[in-house]
Amino acid sequence: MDGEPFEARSQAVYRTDNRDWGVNYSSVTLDPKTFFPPPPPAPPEEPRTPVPEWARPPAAELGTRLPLRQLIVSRANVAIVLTDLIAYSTGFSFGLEILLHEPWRADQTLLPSPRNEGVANALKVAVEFENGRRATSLDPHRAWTGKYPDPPFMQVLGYQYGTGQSRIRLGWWVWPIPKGSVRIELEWPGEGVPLTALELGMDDVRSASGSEIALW
Amino acid sequence: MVRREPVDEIGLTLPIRETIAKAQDASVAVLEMIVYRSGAVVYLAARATGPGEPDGGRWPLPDITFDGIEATLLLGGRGGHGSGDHGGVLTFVDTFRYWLPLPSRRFRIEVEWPQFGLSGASRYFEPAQFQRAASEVLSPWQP
Repeated sequence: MDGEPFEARSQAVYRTDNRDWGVNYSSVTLDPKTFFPPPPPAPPEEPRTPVPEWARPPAAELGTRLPLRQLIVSRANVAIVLTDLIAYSTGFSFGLEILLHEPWRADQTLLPSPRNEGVANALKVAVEFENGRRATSLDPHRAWTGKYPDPPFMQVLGYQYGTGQSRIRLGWWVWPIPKGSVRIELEWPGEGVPLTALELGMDDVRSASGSEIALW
Repeated sequence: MVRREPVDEIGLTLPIRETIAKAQDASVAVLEMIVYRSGAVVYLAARATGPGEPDGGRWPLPDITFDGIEATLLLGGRGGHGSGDHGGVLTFVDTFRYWLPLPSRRFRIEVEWPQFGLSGASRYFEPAQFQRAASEVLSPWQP
């Protein structure tokens, strides 16, 4: 019957060297109330952590695309183009397109691992505000907490390969929109790209950041 | 005919980023149009929120057409990202990259997504804008 103590008897028979060994275990009385105690009550549902405004483009904004295309690096083996500048209410994103003369190989390094393995040969990207403060692609990961980082904050949004592994697109998010201009710096030692910088005026981004369209 | 981004061209991104159609729980938007000498890449996103399908799967994708222009899907469908809450309500963003031949007439992007009651079309895009951009394509390689 449910909830009643019950007897459990186990017996096993082993065969060794053509001899039977019967092994009887003693009877054990079990109380199901203690053997399978009722599960503890479910913990209260924790509130979902909202994405802090410094971490990502606002999910409800499409952003405003500004006309821009700037060839930053043009070498025999690789070209890097600034293709995108998108203004949001809280920051901006920019896109880099990497064109390779030969398809991507497994021994090449695009971005270092989260533990910065392969950093020596990796593409490094940085933004520097007019006040001298910088954020780089090598900055440690920041947890999504309510505490704001010291600006600027930069984070890769994603990347994708195309055209037979000869074209790579990288998107970067930068928080916040600065009062002055921004310098984008990059270096890619593994591909022989020296430290290169590009200055961007932010007037258009500041103007556009007030005109976002609610997307969803 | 090659139907993808030419490897030896830096296309020109048109300043277009706009919603095509919007319903209560779904929306489709143009994220990007990049023009090359022989065609253009159109990058679209579809976002929807709702309960998952009874079998645990996701809802069907929207139907996207280009006003009679034959477009090639380069990459798309269920490559998007999503999230769910404990009540089984899901939000997903699916993305689509199409290759279009350079348009010789004006066209618009048409979207049907009956699961969300969404039906609509973009504004018309003019061929002159694409042809002008195609003439400004750059070569990535130093001479």
